[in-house]
Parts: sequence; structure tokens; C-alpha cells
Amino acid sequence: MATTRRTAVGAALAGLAAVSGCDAGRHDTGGSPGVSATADPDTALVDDVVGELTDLAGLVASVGTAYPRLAGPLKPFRELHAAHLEVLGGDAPTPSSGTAPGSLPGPARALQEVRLREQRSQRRLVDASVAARSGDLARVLACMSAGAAQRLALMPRGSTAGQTG
Amino acid sequence: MTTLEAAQRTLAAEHAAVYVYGALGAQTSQSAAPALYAAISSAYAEHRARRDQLVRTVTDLGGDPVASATSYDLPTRLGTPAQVSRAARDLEEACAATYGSLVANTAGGQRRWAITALNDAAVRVLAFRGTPEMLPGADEYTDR
Repeated sequence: MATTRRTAVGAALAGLAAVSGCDAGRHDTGGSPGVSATADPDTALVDDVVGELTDLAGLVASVGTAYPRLAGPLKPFRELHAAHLEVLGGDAPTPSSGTAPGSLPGPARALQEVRLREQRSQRRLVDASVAARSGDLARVLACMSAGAAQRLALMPRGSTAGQTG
Repeated sequence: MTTLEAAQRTLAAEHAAVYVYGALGAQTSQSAAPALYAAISSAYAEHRARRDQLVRTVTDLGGDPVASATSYDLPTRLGTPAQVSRAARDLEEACAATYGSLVANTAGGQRRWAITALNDAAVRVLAFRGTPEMLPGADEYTDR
């Protein structure tokens, strides 16, 4: 898994380097950012992010399974997680990778739990971006955090969620 | 690209954003389109603040902050609220991409500031009837 993920991230970053203006090994940033297309120093960081996104995707899938009326409102998050995991070389999420449906405490509280976990994940992506040694990876993680921020801004509130789903 | 170069490039983009938002505000009726006017006004203030911070950043990095141009090309069609909103949306998407590049070329607190600006621009896109993306600011992933 780690080798596959590392390979996928490396490939993604190689493509990003071409479009972001980053030129591996030629950065003069005072030595601090260490921007490079080489992803190896960041492998553990990526593994952590993938693990957290996989857990979160599992929770979202489980909530949608347990409460079908929430499946529609939560679909954008499922799609977001799948896209982000694909970029980072993670596996496709499954309901079994998160909270078991039987442990979810009703739709309103389940939705609130998703919101809190999504907010935490968004902040985590920001922190991971700051921590990344590769500037290209930092950019990808920052853009992921922005995607999550957009979804959170559009997320329905508990009292209205599911009325159309 | 050095941190200074990236900061200068972002500053230049913010000079343009402030100019364009000024024009968009002038094209928007506060009484006829109050929500759009409020969104434009808020964005204008935010971009001015970002510009001012970037001036300080460039100075701190030992650079001479790039000056604004005398004028900038404006969208040719700004006669309706929808056209103004579209122009603002395009502007925010461009700013998100610029801040993405700044993220890649900074570290520590400067990078965190750039991430915040990227996030703000991405969310602001929604105020102008934009649609969410998987990776705002990363144009190569636009079709995802």
C-alpha cells in the first residue's frame, strides 16, 4: 500500500509541478519551505491524511446507509472524499471503513457528527499543507482544504437536511 | 520561484483584484441588487486588506513591492447583475489559483496565511453563484 500510494502521489506531484511554476531543486526560499517534487519526505504525512479521509468517507457512507434521506445531502462529501483519495492514491471508501450504522444516534445527531468531522478534517488539511515539505503537495492539500470549505459552506443545517434527499 | 517572487506575483494579482472590484461596485446598484452589492463591497474590503498585507510581506522579504498598474482590462460586459457576478466569480477563481501558487512557494506562517486566503477566495466564489470544485485553485483538476 505505501509503495503504491507513494508512487501515485509522486506521479500526481510530477504533473502538478509542471503547472504550478514549481521547479524541483531550484527553489530559493531561504531554505525553509524545501519545495520539491520528491514526495518521499511527505509519505508519512500523506498516509495520515489518506487514513483520516478514508475514515471520514466511511462515516459519511455509513450515515447515508443508515439514514437514506441524508444520502442526497451528503453526496457532495462522498464525491469530494473519493476525488481527494484518488489524487492521494488512497483506496475507494466503503461504508465498512467508518462508524457502524448501528452506532449512529439518529439522523440529526449523525448529521451534526458529520459536520463536526468534516470541519475537523478541513482544519487538518490546512495543518497538513503547512507541514508538507513539498510545496507541490502543500498546494494540493491546501486546494483540498478549500474544496472542503466550499462543501461545508453549502452543507444544509440539521433542521432542513434530507427534505429533498 | 522564490517566496519573494511568488509574493510579488500575488501582490500584482491583488492590485488587479482591487481595481476590478472597484469597477464592479460602480456597476452594481445598492438598491436594486443589495445582496450582490454587499458581496462586492465585502470582497473589495477583503482584497484591499490582502493587498496591504502582501505589501508588508514583500517588504519584510527585502523586496520593493510591485506597484499597481495605471489601469487594468475590465470584462467587456458588466451591464447586468449576472454579468457582474460572473466577473467577480472569475476573479475569485483566478485569485484562488494565485494563492495556490503562493502556498507552494512559502512555508510556516506565510503558507498558512496563503491557505487562508485560498480558502476565502474559494468560498467567496459561492457568493457569486459559483459551483464548488474538488480542488479549487488547482486548475488541472477542474474537470474532476
